[in-house]
Amino acid sequence: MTADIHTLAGAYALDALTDEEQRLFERHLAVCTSCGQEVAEFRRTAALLGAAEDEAPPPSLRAGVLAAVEVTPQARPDSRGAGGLRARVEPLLMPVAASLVLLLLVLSGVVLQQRTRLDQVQTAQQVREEALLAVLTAPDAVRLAMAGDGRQGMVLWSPSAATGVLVARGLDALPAGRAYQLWLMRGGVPAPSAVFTPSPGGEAVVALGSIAQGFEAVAVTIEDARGAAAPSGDMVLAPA
Amino acid sequence: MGQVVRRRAERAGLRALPGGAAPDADALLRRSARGDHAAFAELFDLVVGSVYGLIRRVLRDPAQSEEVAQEVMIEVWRLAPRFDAKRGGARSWIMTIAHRRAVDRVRSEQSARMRDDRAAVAAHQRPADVVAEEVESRMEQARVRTALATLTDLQREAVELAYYGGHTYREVAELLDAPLGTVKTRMRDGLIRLRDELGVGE
Repeated sequence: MTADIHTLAGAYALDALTDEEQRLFERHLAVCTSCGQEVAEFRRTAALLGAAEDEAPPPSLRAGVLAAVEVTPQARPDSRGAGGLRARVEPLLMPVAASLVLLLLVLSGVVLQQRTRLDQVQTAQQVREEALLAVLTAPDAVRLAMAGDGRQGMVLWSPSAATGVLVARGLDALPAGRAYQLWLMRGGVPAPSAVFTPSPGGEAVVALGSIAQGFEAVAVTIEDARGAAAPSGDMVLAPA
Repeated sequence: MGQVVRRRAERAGLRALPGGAAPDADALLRRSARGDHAAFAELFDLVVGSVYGLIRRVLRDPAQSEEVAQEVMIEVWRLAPRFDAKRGGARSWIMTIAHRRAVDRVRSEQSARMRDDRAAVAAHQRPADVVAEEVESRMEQARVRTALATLTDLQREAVELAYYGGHTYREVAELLDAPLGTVKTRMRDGLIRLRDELGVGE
């Protein structure tokens, strides 16, 4: 493989390598200037093949993207190349809500510890932990903040991982039969998401399951514990 | 919500460009990288046809294509500050992101597609015609078609199955019933030929 690794430049530029081969080749790319030059030229060539497929998208695409971009923070210029989990998480930590991220990390640490002891409650925790890891390690993770009357919340989500995690605190205990519900706002229209109850301390970390479609804001209301199709209660957490 | 409206209003005043020159993708991406929403909207209009068209070609399904195109354009906004013009132009950077995303999506539905494509390859061994049908007569597109026509059959099939079909070279080898090493080198040879034909590089 190493003898003819240069010949992978074509397949690499066409995204035709497996993930493992891609990692290998990228390690080679970092030290091989001629491959770097060749890949750049191949990418430009492939881009022309792609541009030849020009097709007008549905008009809804423009509105959706421009609305999402309003609430999507941009990556910082220099963090590429640093690599690793830390570099990827950092942009999320920087702007605000560092304490919420801390809470999330602490709670996920608790989850990890508990998992080793309590096999019978693994499933829900495992789902939550996997969602956390998927989102926290995704290079494209974004954070949407919420606030309301002493309460704080945020949703971390990643388009590539197609999942997200809700973290909130300062939530009051609710009467039986009632629960908090998260809403994902798309073009100003709320789509129902997770229904949850906070811990006795008023905190919640909730895996949001599969989220295939982007959204531009999030909010939380109090609803029937079985969940609602449309929000009926007041927003206890509104987009910040 | 009010914030969004305010920002939109601010944006309206930012559209005028000195001299009225049409900005290119590179300039718009650099301005987007500084948080300029108006520039990003212009960039969107400039590249979205290519982005959506490519994704559509790879994924075929219009709803999925729109979803992935949306992810790609948001990613372009998010990663704009990391765009490095020294490593290639803005269009090439954006199309690379679009292709990668489309391929990631298609690979999650791989086995069904392998069957489809094997049938397609067997039915007509002339993928260039498929391209010819779909590519319109615009100059750039005509150039691509002409360039593709200069490739050998195996080079063209290897490049097209990988790029438009989203297949790994191993899958392409299987589809074309050709040795792995051959497919790997044909992809590279094909791209070298296309690069020279299309005048990329110098």
